[in-house]
Amino acid sequence: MRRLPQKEDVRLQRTPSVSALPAILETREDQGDSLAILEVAADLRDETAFVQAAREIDWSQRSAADFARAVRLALAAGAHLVARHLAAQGARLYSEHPELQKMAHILAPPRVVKADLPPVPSVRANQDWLRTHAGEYKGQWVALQNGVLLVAAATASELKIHLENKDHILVTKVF
Amino acid sequence: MLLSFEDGRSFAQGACTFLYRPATEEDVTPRIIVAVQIEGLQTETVVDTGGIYLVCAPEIADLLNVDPTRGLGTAELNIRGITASGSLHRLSLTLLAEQGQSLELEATAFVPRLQPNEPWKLPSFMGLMGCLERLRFAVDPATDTFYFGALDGGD
Repeated sequence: MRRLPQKEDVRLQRTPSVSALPAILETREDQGDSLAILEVAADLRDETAFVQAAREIDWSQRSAADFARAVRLALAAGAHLVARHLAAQGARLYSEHPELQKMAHILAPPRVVKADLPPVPSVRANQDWLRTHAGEYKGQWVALQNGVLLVAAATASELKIHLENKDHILVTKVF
Repeated sequence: MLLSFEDGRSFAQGACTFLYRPATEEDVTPRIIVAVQIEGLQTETVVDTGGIYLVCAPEIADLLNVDPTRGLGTAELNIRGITASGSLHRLSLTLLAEQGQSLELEATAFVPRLQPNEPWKLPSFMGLMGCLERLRFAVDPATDTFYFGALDGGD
């Protein structure tokens, strides 16, 4: 059974070289698990090394579980664009895999749903209130409707108790 | 008046005024703050083209009853120098127009996970990747107007 590299085995150090992680792991007996390189890069929060290592993997031969694991590691490494690409590729290859479908859906590029919604004139009135009264309510949560203060509270949870309906009401913390 | 290209195609379909002030109590640099709806709840967000995703303040996520177990569980994000862990979700975000038409999109949203009694001192943010990246947008600092529009062909 192949043994995954342990942190102490590979004597991990943050290094400036993007090729450092594969070089470190080449010295180990378990270099064949290329996802382990991703795991090391993710542990180090080394986005650059993660991206480099991910590029060197032949993803066409990988299982659905590998894709899902790689997406999770990419997110942990801060390699968010890689996470999006891997999730999309994995979801295309494994259309019946629920976790990959969910990952691909959540990480997909933003999509315009409706582009013809009516304007909301009350935005200006609420902003005017905030311009005028921000100093008095600094640090508090407020609910505004058409430029009128409905409720102010120390926390959003307290505010929630007083709001039966949140339609057409601006809820924000005053900074 | 909304913006258009030379050939008459519209660049922006909607416009709203923005607040230009620091985004937090500690912040000293003014930010562009616009009113939006997240999952139907009207709130404010900071335009942050150096950031990624829609960062949904945990208090807002709580008001919306966003269930962390329905998102992708473990993600880390550096937000204005603060490293936060949390979950990723697909949320509806509507840019609210005062002139023209409002625009609703689906965006990737990051919801920070807080420890019990841990305070969150930041507002919500609209980052580029995962949020604003498929929109046209422009700012007129003379009138504090934020213009936005869908790309031709929807998304």
